[in-house]
Amino acid sequence: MERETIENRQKTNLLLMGAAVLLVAFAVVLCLLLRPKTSGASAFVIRFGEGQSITVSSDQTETVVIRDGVRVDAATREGKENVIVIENGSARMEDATCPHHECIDQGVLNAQTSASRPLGPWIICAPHGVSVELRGGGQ
Amino acid sequence: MKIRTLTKAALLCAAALILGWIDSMIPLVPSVPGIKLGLSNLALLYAVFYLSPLLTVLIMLAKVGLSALLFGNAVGALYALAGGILSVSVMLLLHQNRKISVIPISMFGGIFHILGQIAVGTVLLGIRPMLVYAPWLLVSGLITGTLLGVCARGVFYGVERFEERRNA
Repeated sequence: MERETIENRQKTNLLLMGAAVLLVAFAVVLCLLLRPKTSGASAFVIRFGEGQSITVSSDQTETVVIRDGVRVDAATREGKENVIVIENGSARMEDATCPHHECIDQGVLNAQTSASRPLGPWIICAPHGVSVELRGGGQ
Repeated sequence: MKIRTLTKAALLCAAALILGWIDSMIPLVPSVPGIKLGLSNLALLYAVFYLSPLLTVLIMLAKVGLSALLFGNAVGALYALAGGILSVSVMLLLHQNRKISVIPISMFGGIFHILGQIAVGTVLLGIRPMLVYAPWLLVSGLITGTLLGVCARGVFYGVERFEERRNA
């Protein structure tokens, strides 16, 4: 009787662990199917604040400073600040005041690196709600 | 409420806070933000199994609030709060069935913590970057949830043996 109870318990636990793996596998496959595809590189789209965005052509050279959800002229390292540099067809997060600087660690984004980067054609600063997307010619 | 229970809750809150701070010092995948071991979930798992649901929720809220005040920022607290509410709710719900052990509960806790964070990320950043970002977070939530469940099983076993010896 006791053995049966233990077997029942093990079965329930194994089923739940399988369900957890299946749930994650389903969600990952769904994301992979729905993720936007990028071909070539024509522009960088910088999103920030409440739905604001700036599009910078990849052949331009520009430094974009975002502070507290607004584009400003110069960096001061105050508030929620991100400094994005676009030059030679690449974009990078030059500086940021977020806690762990993970957006800076994401490195250079361009047509060559976007396929091999973990986050593909994106640089994301999650704490500040700022993102940079590399968009292809057809998008 | 017994003083002993209250002391346990305060100690777990302090443990969650310290484990969360240690966690923030360990970058697992530097190029993907938000992937953490989730060590503070160990304290919450203990609360789910040995304290009341109300105290578990209070420990989670205190941990999120104090972490934001001491080491984080408001947006970070928003991610942690959404993840915390979802993961604690799911863990408490699963624990209603006493047949379910700590490992699957921890796995679901890890996954739902990430789902809460994905929801906040979708609001703040939009759905497009989250479709690229979410698979990394979900897989990490599953792996860290499993590892923490195994650790918690060892910790629970040790604590129960200690209590048995003390009461003997």
